[in-house]
Amino acid sequence: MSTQKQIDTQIVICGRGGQGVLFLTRLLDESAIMIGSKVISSETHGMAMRGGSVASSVRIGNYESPLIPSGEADILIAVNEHEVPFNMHLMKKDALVFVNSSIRRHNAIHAEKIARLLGSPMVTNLVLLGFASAHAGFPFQYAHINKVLQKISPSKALELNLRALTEGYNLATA
Amino acid sequence: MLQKIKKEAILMGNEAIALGIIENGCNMASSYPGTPASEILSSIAHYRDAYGLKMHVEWSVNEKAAFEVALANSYSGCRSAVSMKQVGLNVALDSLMSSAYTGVVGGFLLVSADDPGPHSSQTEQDSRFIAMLAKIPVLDPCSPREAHDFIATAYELSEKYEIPVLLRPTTRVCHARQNVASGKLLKNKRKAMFSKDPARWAATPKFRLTLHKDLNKKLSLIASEKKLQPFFYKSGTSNQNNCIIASGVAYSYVLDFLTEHHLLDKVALCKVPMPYPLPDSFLKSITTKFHKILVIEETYPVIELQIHDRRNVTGRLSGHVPNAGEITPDIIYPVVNKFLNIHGKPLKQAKAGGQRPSLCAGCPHRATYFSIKKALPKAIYAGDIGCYTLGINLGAVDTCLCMGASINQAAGFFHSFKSTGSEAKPIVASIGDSTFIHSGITALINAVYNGARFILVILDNSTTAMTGNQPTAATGVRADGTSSSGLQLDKLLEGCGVTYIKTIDSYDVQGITSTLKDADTYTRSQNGGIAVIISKHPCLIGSKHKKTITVTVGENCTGCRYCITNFECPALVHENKKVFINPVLCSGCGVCVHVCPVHAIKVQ
Ligand code: SF4
Ligand code: SF4
Repeated sequence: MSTQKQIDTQIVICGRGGQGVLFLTRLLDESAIMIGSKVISSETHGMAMRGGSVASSVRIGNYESPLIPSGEADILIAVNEHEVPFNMHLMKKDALVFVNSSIRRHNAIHAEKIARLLGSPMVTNLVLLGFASAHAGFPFQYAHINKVLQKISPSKALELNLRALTEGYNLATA
Repeated sequence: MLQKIKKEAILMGNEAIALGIIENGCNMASSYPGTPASEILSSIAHYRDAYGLKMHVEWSVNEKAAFEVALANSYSGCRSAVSMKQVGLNVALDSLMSSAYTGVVGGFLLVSADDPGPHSSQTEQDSRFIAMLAKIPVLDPCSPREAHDFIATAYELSEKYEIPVLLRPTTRVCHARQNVASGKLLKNKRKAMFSKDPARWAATPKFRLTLHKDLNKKLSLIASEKKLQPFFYKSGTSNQNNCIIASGVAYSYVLDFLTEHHLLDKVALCKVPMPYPLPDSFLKSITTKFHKILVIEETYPVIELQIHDRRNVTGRLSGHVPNAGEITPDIIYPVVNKFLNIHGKPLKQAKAGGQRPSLCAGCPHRATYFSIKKALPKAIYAGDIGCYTLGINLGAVDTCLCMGASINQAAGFFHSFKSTGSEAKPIVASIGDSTFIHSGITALINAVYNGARFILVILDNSTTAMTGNQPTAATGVRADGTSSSGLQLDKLLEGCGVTYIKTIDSYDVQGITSTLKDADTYTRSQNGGIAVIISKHPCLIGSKHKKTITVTVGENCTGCRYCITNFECPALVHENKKVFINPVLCSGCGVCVHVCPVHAIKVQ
């Protein structure tokens, strides 16, 4: 068991079909389970997976239902910056917004470019998550996510996945 | 990664359902893929191997087949599970209606996943109404965990009363993920045994009346089953003035809301695990206990309608809850606030819009639709259900009704125009291989038999792509990975009486275009008939595909965006008044070369 404390956090992950939103959802779900938290999340499947807008919600804590009501989410992870406006209504006033973007702004990182340099744009999601994990307000620390990633990654992708997570984290702390 | 579920795991609703089925001694599971139900059968196949169980698991060619195959197993005293999406149950409805009368011996679990919204379906119909129509009990789980736990109950109920039992999860249960505790593994030790009883299994109309009377008796007993009664979340709250009755995931939303706003002492919350059959005593007395009642359920007012005296009852039927669409927290909270006379703060509105889905870069369907549009721009395009419904973005899909309808509707258009002496337009039906096998074959036989004339394009990508690339009868692979003799489409077509059959690679734009024109001539010629073109190329997802060519956009690109508007390949990007190709997304299919009017796109 990790030393992380019990948390109560609601996270929205958004992007387009095929950008690894589902994988991040699973990773955060498992991260919550590993610290003994209750979690319920919701995913988009079906037609939208063909490049359309997709969003997941992850509710860590004492929740019975999978969707986050408007104005209650603590964190937004936007693998695609164009999806941010469609999810802002869900966010709290002081929510943390981590976004993959070429434009320099608060809590933004050009995760896609970094992922490409690492060898595949498919790991954009993990670069962004690594980046977010360096923030004091993020519920899971880098080391914890790293451990979970080792557990759930398919072995073929593990090495690249870990590098992407680490690179995102390092860039945030550099 | 084959893994048993040790004690607890985070599972998607569909995985939780699969686990429940595995744990409860089921030896036969069948399904036809459809969102949001598809992962149930693939997860069963997965757990079967992880647990080393002997089980028959199949992707059937349609829901009716899936239902009847599983039913025979239950006739033989063994436990079966058949899963499908809600509109799939329409396809299996005939079998369901009759099976309610005959009943079963071994437990028969039917899972029909509803899709309020709808997110991925042509209707947001409520399977609980179908249960009522068929006169079988229905369980309405509020979470993945409850869906899992309901399976044991469903099998017990099914065997105690010898009746099929419906489990009705919705999208937000199927695709939610939650910690689920595994149950005891009940290994199947039964042997199939069929006891002949023609008065039951082959009942004639005379005996059917008896069976119907028996069914009614079963239902009234089931309605008063202790375990499945409506109950109050907090005992002692039944002395409140107001009551909220809820079922399914809507119950979970209401519970979260009342908990968070400390309202559980202010209103009675009544949960309905089994919305049908409900005991008469409950339906009569509930309205005498409270001043006001609010019913929250998805998607149709099934519980609300059953309450006898609805003068003080509000819900979807009364219009206090919107009578269409998914119930989300943002929909429910203002309704509950109003019901309890609470001034809640207004909710932030979601911004409308977002990216519409599109066929993948290099998708063979895009190439085919582009050719169809190019060769026969004035045709009526009868479409069907699958990834390729997205051909609508290319303007090559005019209708989309339900599985297999493209062929019947093409025939209908032909006869409609012909019988009224209207100017004959070309008619092009398009249908995927899996959908064709599902319900296009009988449609084609009908069209040939009744002398219709049109072009049928079978989009053969050798898979059921939309729902996660399940194999089809033509793929030559089964649900468990074993191989079967693949169905040969051309032979089948010949057998249906089609004589014009051409198979062409989907990427061959010129070939398909000229064949379409030739086919059009054939449909109009004296001895013509239905022309079938099999446009064949494997789906890019799941197939081992190598990029062999590189495509670039030359300096002469005028930035007219013709390629983006009319072809919509996600790899074509407009930036700084020119189009360029995103090399990461581009699959190298080379089809866009035929699209640009000034030939700016070239193979390098
Ligand atoms: S590539 Fe051709 S069709 Fe596309 S914008 Fe340029 S000129 Fe127009
Ligand atoms: S070759 Fe053209 S049509 Fe094919 S994937 Fe690349 S950009 Fe799209």
